[in-house]
Amino acid sequence: MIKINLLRGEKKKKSVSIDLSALKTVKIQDLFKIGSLYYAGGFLWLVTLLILGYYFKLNQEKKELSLKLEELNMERLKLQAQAKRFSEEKKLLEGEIERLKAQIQDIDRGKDIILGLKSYHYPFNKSLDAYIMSLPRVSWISNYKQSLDISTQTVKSELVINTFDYQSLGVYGRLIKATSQKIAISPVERKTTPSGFEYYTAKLSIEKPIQEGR
Amino acid sequence: MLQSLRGILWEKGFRRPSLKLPYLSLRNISRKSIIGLHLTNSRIRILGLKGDKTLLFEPVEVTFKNDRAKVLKELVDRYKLRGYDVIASLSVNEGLMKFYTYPSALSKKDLENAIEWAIKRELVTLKEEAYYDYHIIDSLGDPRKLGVIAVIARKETVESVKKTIQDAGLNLKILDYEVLAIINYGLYNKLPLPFSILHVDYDYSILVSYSQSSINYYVGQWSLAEYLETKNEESFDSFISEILNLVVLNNITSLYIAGPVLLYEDVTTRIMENVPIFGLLDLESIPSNFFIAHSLCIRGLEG
Repeated sequence: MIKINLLRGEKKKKSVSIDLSALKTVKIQDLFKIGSLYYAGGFLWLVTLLILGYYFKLNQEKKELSLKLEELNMERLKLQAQAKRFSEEKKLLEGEIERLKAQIQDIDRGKDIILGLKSYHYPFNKSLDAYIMSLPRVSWISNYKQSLDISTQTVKSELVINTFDYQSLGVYGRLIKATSQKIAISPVERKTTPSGFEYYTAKLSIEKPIQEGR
Repeated sequence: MLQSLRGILWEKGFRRPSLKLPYLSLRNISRKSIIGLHLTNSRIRILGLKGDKTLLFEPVEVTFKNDRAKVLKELVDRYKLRGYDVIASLSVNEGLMKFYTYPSALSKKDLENAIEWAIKRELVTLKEEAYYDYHIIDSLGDPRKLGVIAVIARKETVESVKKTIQDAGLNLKILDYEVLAIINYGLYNKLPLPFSILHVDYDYSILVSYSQSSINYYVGQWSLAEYLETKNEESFDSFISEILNLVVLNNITSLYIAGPVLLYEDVTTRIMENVPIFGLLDLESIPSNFFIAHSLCIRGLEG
């Protein structure tokens, strides 16, 4: 439940008003008339009481002010400690910001490298596809190695091809040779499987620029 | 000697000072009853509730044309209500309500300073002496935030309402704001948040939306009293489309209807046919025109 009372706002502004006109005025001459001694006595008592009252009021105010001063001193100390803490925190944060900036720079550099590598990704994989797609039907690759030399922008591939068909191995060699000038085919060897079948094996070493395509 | 001194003092006009000690009225404490006073531009509604929230007397509603103070005084005398504690409300046009949010990490002193500063800034634009009060809501959806509802009213208005009530012989205990009385009904009855209440009175209507992050209110000038007399369908249709626009624009989902309009079934049905009303806020044993007076009474009894 929301509790609003507009009369509260009014009380804050209340002040005490004293009607001074209600006070009786006393002429000095009257004090010297008969019976004026009573007035004088009363007046002296009144003055004494007023002085006492004023003394107590001042004393009270003094106490309040010294308390307030103490509180303010405490507050000052607290604020100084807080300011010190904040400046330390500021230094820490500045250090952290520097560290993060360096980290961001590293990440940016890494990003550039990744973007550069990404441009090689497609032609690199494409050359792998090219060699495998054109393999003779009855053949298999027992070893395939492909590497990229970024400084010379060339892809080096090495294949060990095995087949039962000697002729098709020759045809494949010629086909691949057409894609690059730098191709080397090792002499065809005849080997026997553990189960006694004969097959032919040859090693192809190919080198071609990465941006050349297939 | 002492006798003669006393005689002289007596002749001079000195009397023994008489002290008047403050007294505690046990009558009011034991009774714990309260009167909710809903003052509009044309009507006075008085509803009294006992401590157990049963009716203190049959609720009274009168219309007036000129002298509101005189009519209220007559009512108080007629129903013997002199001396009762009263909780009244300023009407929607007599006050200004603001909603602020602050981080909950602020210390109490800083928060108070921030609120006072925000209100003082509002007061600069008013260029008149004003009274204000605020309420801090710490149960917002976000635990990192505090909501503050502040109501500001012209000093002259508050003093005038206070004088009217006190001159009538009632003891004004709390002066609330009409919009908050509507919201308080929803909060007291635990309506699921966010909720909106359309209070349709005889001369005006208020659409209040309350959510955990905001409070919006809109005052419509359509007169139900005039419609009941003239049956002017055009103004009624424009009122309905106005409300409908507000519902659509503010994406209001849980809208309740309350106020004197519920006394007129055909008008309520027409509104409900056109506006997506979720429910009626009917006060069972108390007539619906005392919706705000009832909410004020509950606020008074809750302290």
